[in-house]
Amino acid sequence: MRTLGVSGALVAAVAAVAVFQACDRGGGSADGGIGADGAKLTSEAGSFTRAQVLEAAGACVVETVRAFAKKSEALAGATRTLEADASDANLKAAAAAYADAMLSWQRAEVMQFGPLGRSPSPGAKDLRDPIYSWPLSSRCLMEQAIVSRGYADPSFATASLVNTRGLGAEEYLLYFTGTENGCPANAQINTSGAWAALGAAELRTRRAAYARVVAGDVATRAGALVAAWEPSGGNFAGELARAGLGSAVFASDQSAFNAIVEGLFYLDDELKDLKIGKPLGLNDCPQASCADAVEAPYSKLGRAHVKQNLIGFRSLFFGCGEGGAGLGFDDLLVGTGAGSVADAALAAYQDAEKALEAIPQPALEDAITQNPEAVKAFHAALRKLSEVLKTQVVPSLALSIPKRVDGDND
Amino acid sequence: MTDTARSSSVRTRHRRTRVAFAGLLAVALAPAVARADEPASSTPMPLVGGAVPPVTPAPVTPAPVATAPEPAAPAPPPRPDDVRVRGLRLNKAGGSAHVIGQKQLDRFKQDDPHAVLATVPGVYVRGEDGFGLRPNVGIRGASSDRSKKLTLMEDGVLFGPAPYSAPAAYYFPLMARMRSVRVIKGPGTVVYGPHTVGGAIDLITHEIPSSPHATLDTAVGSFGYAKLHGTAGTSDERTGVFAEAVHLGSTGFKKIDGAPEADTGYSRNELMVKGRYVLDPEAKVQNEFSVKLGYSSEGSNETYLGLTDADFAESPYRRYAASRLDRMDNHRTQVALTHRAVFSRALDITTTAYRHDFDRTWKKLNGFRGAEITEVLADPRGARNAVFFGGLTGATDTSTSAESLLVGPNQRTFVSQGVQTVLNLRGRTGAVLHQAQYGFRLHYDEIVRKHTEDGYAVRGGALVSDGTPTQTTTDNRAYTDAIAFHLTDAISYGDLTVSPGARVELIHSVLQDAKTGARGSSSYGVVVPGLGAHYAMTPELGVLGGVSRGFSPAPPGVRDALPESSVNYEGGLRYASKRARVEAIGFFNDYSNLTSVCTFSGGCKDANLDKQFDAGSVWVYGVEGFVESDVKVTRTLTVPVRATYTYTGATFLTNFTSADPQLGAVKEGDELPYVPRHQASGMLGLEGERFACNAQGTFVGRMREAAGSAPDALMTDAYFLLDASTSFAVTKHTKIYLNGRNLLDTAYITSRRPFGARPGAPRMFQLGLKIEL
Repeated sequence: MRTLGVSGALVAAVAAVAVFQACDRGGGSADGGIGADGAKLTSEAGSFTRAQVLEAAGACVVETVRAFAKKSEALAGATRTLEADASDANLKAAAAAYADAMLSWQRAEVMQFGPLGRSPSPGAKDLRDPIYSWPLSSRCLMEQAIVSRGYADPSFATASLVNTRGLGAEEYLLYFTGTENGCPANAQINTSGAWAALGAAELRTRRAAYARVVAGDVATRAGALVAAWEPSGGNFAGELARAGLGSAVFASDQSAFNAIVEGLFYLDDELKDLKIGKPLGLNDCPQASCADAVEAPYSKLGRAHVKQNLIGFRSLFFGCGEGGAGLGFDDLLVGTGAGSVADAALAAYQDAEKALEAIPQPALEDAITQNPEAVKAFHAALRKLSEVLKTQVVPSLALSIPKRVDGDND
Repeated sequence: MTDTARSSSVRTRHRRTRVAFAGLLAVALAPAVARADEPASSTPMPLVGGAVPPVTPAPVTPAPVATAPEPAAPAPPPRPDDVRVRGLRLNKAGGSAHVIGQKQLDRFKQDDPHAVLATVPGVYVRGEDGFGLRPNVGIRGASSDRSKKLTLMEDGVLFGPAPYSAPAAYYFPLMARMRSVRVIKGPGTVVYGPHTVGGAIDLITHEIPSSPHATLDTAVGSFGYAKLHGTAGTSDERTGVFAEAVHLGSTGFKKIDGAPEADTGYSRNELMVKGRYVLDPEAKVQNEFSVKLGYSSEGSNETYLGLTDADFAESPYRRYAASRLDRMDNHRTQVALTHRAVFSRALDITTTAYRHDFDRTWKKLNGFRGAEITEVLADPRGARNAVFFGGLTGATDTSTSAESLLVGPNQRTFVSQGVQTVLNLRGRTGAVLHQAQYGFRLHYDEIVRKHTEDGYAVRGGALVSDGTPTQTTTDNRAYTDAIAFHLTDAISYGDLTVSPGARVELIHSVLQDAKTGARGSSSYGVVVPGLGAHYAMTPELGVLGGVSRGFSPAPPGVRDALPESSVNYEGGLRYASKRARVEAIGFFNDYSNLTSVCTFSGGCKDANLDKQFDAGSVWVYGVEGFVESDVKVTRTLTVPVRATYTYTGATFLTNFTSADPQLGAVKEGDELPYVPRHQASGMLGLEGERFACNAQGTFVGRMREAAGSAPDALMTDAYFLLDASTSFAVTKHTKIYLNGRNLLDTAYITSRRPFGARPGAPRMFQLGLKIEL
């Protein structure tokens, strides 16, 4: 727990006690350092074990995905209403339900491990991309599906590519109301005249129907995600809590912490580089400008996404309670004598939050073109936080930097 | 073991080696001192002189002019198939060595070096393109990746594009030009540096004929195979000249999605001209000057992209659409100037100056902007991977920049040049015979890399530019100055021959990165001692043993990088008579630091290219068996028989994690990748005066795609290939032949590096006509 505003003196005192206790025990176990043998650690959150930190992380993910599942059900309901009556009011309501669900999902984006992870990471069920495949999204393929009514095929939710469904597709279907398409002029839907033959009304009807299919699939997968984490289902939260203590997934608690770190580095790879650095032209931008690489081009919710990503990071790293309350990696750092690292992480996180708030434009794409310096300052703050993760947090806890981050362009 | 402890251990060995070297130096110099007082007309050695020269000299035929002073009778040059180790004929050498002679090469006329070398015990091969254009050959556990851990030579001169700075063998001479192939393992490798961990391969080209001689060999075959090979040459007592030209080509056996008629084959051309001039055939000291010029070119529509295992099972010779633009083009020139002075039967010295220039550009699929090809191919149905897989196969159009295919013309230019001298001395000290060799080489090589990438989108199954500008991914230059010298002496006393020797390498290398402005350099020296022994229990049967140091240089410019280092032991029995040779040799290579140098072909990421990754202590051990005989059935009928077998165990002794994907997270006891536990070959034939029929089977056991010990881990396929050849002499000068490759049409995965499963070549036939005048 790093409740924002904790006094440095208290942290230092707790850290000193923790260090003393650690020394008194003669150091930690071979795998994972201090506390890996099940011994009690202490932070301002009180006395705890490493297993309890993992348990808290699992509970945090469960809480997050439950909230998303609930909102995805609401989105599914709103799109059913929209399909029945594609009125402006229903479209607006569906878009609002989408925004609600999407912002909830953005917190879970930082939790891409276990069931949300990709093979071959521990416990992976590849559930993330079917729910939200960004940056993979194909407007042209979606528009081909609109023409062919491919979305109506019962196998669409399982057989079609993820870049034509999920929340990314839903954003296009609910926010884009134009009658032009994004396919090249020589695409079959254009050369055949099939797209042009669809009038605005028919387009609206088909988009609504498509949105219902997609939202229903998202809700179903959100349910599967919750089930994978909950004790009544796959109980991945339990696997985390029992890491090294009989877990079928994690032979050691260290491997479980590494899995969570894999998720936390979303902050570096996806948030810093893909969402901010690339549109700014700082990362992986082969063109003169990559401003159009910003997330959520139709809803213009990109900035809100980023804010939720930070909150998701805070929940997992500092604690899932209000303002970062609860057990987290910061407590683990304090408990193992690395309180200064916890302080550095907190300071860097707060700087990132402030830098985001300092961007005046509500839409990220506008800020990038109108006030790039402010966005660059936010990017710099994210880089600082990422550096603290890489160079202080990971070594202090004897964890591993994910492979995808290992050789980045920094 | 920690890296620090490992370094300390290796450095301690270095110090010990230096002390040992001082002793060896004294031993090696002793015969030279003793010999200095001997007259040049000392009794000819029973073991016949003529240590392995760096370049096989052409026969020198002094004119018998009665009135002229008797010229020094030069030591007869070794026949191309006369394998010697430190001057000893093979049956007396205290080390393992094999030769594939002209007769054996002619039997099957294999173009693929893998097919030739897989029949040598202790040599492992890993196919890649099915043609052997860029062979992966390893010896006794040394990595087979691009043959970069072997010392590769043509006529005794290093032929790799940059043997020190970038040892990956992106150039390999055409086997059609070779008269014999010599493979040296064990302590004999210290003569042939810089790489001594596994062994050395020396390809011997056609010598200048002693009388007018010309050949024309032409063949056609499956998959558009075409060969045109001509030679012509002659010589007299003073001059000689020889020219050779080869063209090989094929339209390929793979079919590209959406372009089934596209050429997936290759075209290779090699020209070689040799000239020789003897200053004065009647002089007491024979001085011979020779020149060798060569030009090679290749255009091949080759790719690094393979298939998913499921697609391989369904259609092994398919190629995904994303590889449609892939093509390698390279050109090479070579020049070698040699002076050979024969002072007497006891003393000769050969000096060669050489330079090779090689330029290659390989435009090929390197990856996606937003995914790893290996991960996509490993799980092509995964939610995310399916999007990228659709791009690879051309089934779906590209929608985002993450899906863009990165196609890179990786351009590299190489220079390899130097001067090398080998001095052979033969003599005796009392009852002790000496055959000593002193060698020196001053070498420079460099590589300039300019790698760029362009983004391509898939549109209707075709690749079109995604509109992004060209990105430079690598822009650097590495070069190495190296001084090497070796000295060996084969000391014979009665039936015992002991062959101590040592090699010294002094290496200075630099890496300059034009992208970052960084510059790194390193300088170090290493002593590579070796000791072999042979005891002849009977004239035909002997016991042999040896110990030597294995060494392979670290990549350029990396300060404090540890070179690959090992201590190699071998011992066994050898029976060698006029018509048969039988060997059983055990080997044990004790690596203190096995290294891997990352390459694209090995599956490494761009950021790790040419970086060295240490893999610590490793044991490689095994047994090699060899039988060869030409059984005379009647006066005109011969049954050639040949069989080889190699068992190899290769395990890591430490736990570590490496960024090299062939290693990964390694635990003690894990096995090395790409080392087959079992490998065997057998050949049986019937040959008469005008015909020959031969069949050969080669078995290569499955190999791990990455280090590990799990029995169900990802492995290459074990495979058995049956080849056969038959020839008939229509006239005295004309022969027709028919070759069959992979007659059982075995489809097998040779490797999944770097991007997916790739097949060996399917069944092929070749029909040829050879005219010899």
